[in-house]
Amino acid sequence: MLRHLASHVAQLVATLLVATAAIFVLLRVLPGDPAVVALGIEASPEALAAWRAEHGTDGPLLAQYLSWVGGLFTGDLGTSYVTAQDLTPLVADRVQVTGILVLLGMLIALVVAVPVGTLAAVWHRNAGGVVLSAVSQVGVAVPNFLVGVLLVALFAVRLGWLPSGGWTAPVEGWGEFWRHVLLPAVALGSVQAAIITRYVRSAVLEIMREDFLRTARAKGLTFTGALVRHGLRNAGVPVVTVVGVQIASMLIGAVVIERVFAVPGLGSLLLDSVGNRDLLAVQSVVAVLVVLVVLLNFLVDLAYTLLDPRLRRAS
Amino acid sequence: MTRRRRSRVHPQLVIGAVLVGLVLVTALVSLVWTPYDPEHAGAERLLPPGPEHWLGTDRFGRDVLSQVMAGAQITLLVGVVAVGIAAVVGVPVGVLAGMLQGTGHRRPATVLMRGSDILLAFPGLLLAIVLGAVYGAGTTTAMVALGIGSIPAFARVARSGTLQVVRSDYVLAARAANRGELAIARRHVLPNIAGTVLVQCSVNFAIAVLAEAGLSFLGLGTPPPTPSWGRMLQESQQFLGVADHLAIVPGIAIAVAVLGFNLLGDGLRDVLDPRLADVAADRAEATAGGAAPDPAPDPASDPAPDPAADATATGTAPALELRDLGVRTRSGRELLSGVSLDVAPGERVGLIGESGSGKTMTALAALGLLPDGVTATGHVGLAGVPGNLLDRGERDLARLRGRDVSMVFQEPMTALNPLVRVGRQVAETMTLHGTGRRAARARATALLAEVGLPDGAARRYPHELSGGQRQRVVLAMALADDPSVLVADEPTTALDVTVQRQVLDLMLRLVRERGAGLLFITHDLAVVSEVCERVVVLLDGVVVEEGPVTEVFAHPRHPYTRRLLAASTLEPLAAAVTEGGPAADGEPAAPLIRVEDVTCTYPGRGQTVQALRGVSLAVRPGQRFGIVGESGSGKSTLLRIVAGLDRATSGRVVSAGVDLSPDGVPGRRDLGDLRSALQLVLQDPYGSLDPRMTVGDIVAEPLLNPANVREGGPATASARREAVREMLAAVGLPLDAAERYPHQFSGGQRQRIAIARALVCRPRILVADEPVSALDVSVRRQVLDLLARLTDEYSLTLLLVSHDLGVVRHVCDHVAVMHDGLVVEQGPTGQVYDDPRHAYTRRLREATPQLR
Repeated sequence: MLRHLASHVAQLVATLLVATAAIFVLLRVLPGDPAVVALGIEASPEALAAWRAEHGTDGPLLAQYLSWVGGLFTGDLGTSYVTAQDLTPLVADRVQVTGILVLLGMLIALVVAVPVGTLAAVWHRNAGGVVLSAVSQVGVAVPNFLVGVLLVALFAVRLGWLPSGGWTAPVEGWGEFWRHVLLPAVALGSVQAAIITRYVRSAVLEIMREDFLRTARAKGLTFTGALVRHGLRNAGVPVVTVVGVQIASMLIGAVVIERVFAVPGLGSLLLDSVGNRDLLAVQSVVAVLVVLVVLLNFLVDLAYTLLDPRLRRAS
Repeated sequence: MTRRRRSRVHPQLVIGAVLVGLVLVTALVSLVWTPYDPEHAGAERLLPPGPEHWLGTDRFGRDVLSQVMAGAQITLLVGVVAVGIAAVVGVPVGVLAGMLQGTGHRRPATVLMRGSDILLAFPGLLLAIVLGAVYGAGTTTAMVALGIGSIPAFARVARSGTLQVVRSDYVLAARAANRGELAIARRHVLPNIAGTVLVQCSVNFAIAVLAEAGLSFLGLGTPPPTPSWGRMLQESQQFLGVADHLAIVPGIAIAVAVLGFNLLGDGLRDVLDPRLADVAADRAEATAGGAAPDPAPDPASDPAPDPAADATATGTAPALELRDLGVRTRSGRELLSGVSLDVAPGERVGLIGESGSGKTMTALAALGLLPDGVTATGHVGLAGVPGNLLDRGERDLARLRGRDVSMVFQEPMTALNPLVRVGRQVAETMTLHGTGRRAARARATALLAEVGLPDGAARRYPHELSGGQRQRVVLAMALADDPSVLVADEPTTALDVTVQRQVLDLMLRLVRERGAGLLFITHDLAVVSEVCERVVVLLDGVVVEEGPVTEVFAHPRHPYTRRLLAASTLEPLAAAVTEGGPAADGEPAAPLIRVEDVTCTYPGRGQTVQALRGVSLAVRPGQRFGIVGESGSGKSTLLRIVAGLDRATSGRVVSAGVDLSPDGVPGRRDLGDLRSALQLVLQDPYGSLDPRMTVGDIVAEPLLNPANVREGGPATASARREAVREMLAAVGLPLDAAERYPHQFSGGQRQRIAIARALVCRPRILVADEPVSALDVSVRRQVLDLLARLTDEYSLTLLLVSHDLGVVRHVCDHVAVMHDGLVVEQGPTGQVYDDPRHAYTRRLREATPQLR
């Protein structure tokens, strides 16, 4: 178990190093000298040198990379070249917003997907199962921003029940927070619900074919009893991994949803920075997103081993 | 049969294809015609759908229908390029990694996959934003970014598909036929993974469509004025409530495209899934008589005795009573009809039949455990339970199962819940029927001790126990509530002979002590003769004979029973070769295979496994050499080493004149010599033939390597066809077999195909690894006799590996008994069998069930 963990952690570190190096090369090295980008081609050599010294872009690239990565993991992201803002509190603030949105979206998705997917599997030969399957299939095909646009059209524009966008942090008032978070979270979660429903369905279908479920029934459990007591936990193993992977994909999907609802999350920051050509900010946000995605993949691997005793020893 | 399967309409596939076709046609049409110029702002603004503009106009007065039509172009372009990039890079990486890992090069394979997995950190959408920030957003950036982001998905799919193929027996057979890795990749891997890659393409296309729409929505996709669905949606936002059609129309377009590609992918997956199509259906069909070699005797010609008469004769109410039981599938195929049998209290009844005879269905029907889509008619009665069990609901039945009647299944490896400790699983039988939790736990521990498990077994997970131990757990579970009837479905078939003996003895003891009735289902007549008092013979879902074991086995009345009995008794064939081979005049001929003090270790979980611990043997030309051993004895490892498919750790190995010793490195040419001289027949006739090749191509494969073709042998395509035809005739297959596919043949016929493939290049040595252990009894005999006959006809040396002493005795003149990585005894078969010297050989002999 410990050796297994160690090898996983080593792999995690290696992936993080390669991924951040790739980000650094893509956003810091390839676009050219940030001083020239900031001051223009006609700036004097002295001005350029002064800018470089101020922003620490005058050393060798390797040293710059190491200092940036060091800052990334110690919570110092530096100062934006464009807005001169300290990036750390800004990014930290935005991570919270996106985090709340994604977790709430996943919660909504799970509350829908687990029962619906299970029913779709149990009823897979009936009309009910076919309908559930078809609905989830259509749900997967709808882009989340379309759901967002339609939710706005209905609840904000037509009915006027909820605001069409914006954000209120929970500390500023729970009521307003819920009014703002509901639509984007539902938009993000509904499509995930469809995706996860399909995974739950296929996991439960797979389990229903297992011999041990028949054994459980031979002991005196009803079909439903056997499924609940012995099936769902086994079906949970693949579903948990899917949930992890989907949270990662929701982090990225949130970029679009934040744009629809004007939510000040990581995605909005990323898009604004791209618009401003604020490459250090882009670099930081992308790095944060990539680190989160990699960490989630790591946790998924770990959860897999914890959930299944067969893997605990084998590895 | 295949025709019917292919013609069956798959709704998902059809709907998917129609939707994808719709998008495709729209894109193509829009290249030459749209109602209006999609980029021309000529009409009134924000018109609702109407006769002029069917889908209305946008804020610049552009025709929405024309825009949506033209938008399909960008969608398809991005999808094709993104999927193309991902597949072109990802598939070769995955195939290479799979081939490397499959051939034992773990490290480079892992490095390759880790490299591609790093891309998982950059989802396509994020990558597109980043690349857009650096190089400027646009169609090209989007396509490339989405393509790169999907590379790991393709690499993973290709790798796992390749691994599956590379580990299959048919690739092993191709290697043994001296085919190079490139040829294997081309002929076996690519055709077999093409389906899954195609599915991945379709699914990824849907992902690309969604991502492109998202990027355009963010203004990072295709720049205006080129129409794009995502941007249409984004622009519609300002007019929500005023002109909702601006959002709905492109939204539907996106959903239709994504839905189409997803459905197409799912449909393809279902159609191409070998579990759903090839194996399951065809195995069932093949064994159900469609392709069976033997004509089924007419059951009506010899009516079964009336079991009701027997029941009244014994005078007591039966513990389990089946009356006129019929089971049919939803499509109307009859699996059982008119099956009647009784199990008196304390009586042990054997139910005999070959695969497809319906014996498992009988057991499942008795417990109300029939699978979905299968229904039972007739009467199932249980002592002390009024009425017909078939009329009861699931809840009612559940109350009876485990308490009044319980069941032990065939496969101990999958019968237990892998996530729950076995003690709890045993206790559950009791808690379900009213025992308190604590009492049940204590009783479970006692029961596990009673079935002979070591202390502390209750806290183990199933995977920590051996197959025999797991079957003991299942037995403890089934008997925990002292049921009056135990139904055991092939409970020892998956176990080794000596373990089978222990489990059988245990089961007999427990059933006797509890006075429970036993319905024992098996294909093995010898086991029935030892375990049961009465026997019922099932053929094609009908009882053909029934009576006391001694009577039925001594005087079988039905021809099927007679044939089954004849096939079950494997007497030694007349020894064709005298000890020492053709050069029997004094000096024995030089051995063809020489193994001296060979060891083999390989890294296992945690510690190294010693598969062979100093094995020596010599096989002389013309000998029929048998190797007998149980699982873990090292017999398969030895066989792989002799066949040049594995390396020994130490010792000396010479096979057909080629030195395979670990210190000397045999050149390619030497290995070529070996493989043209030595050919393999493997155990599983379902796994050893490439399902996507015709039988003719399969049999011809060894001839494709010129090194395998002897001088004057078949070197041209027509000569190869002739050689294949000759070989198929020699193994007793019909002439048209060459054009058909493996799944159209029964197990026995497939094994004949495998033998034809092995002999087509006229090897000197034939190595057969458990060639009949997956076959039914009646077919087993035929295949063994074919092997023996061909060994004579083609002057072969036969090396036959089996777990079954009887099989080896039937065919071989010389036998080596292996146990724990050692040869414990060897000599002429008759001597070893009749007068075993080693304790293990004696134990093996005594454990082997005997027909009596």
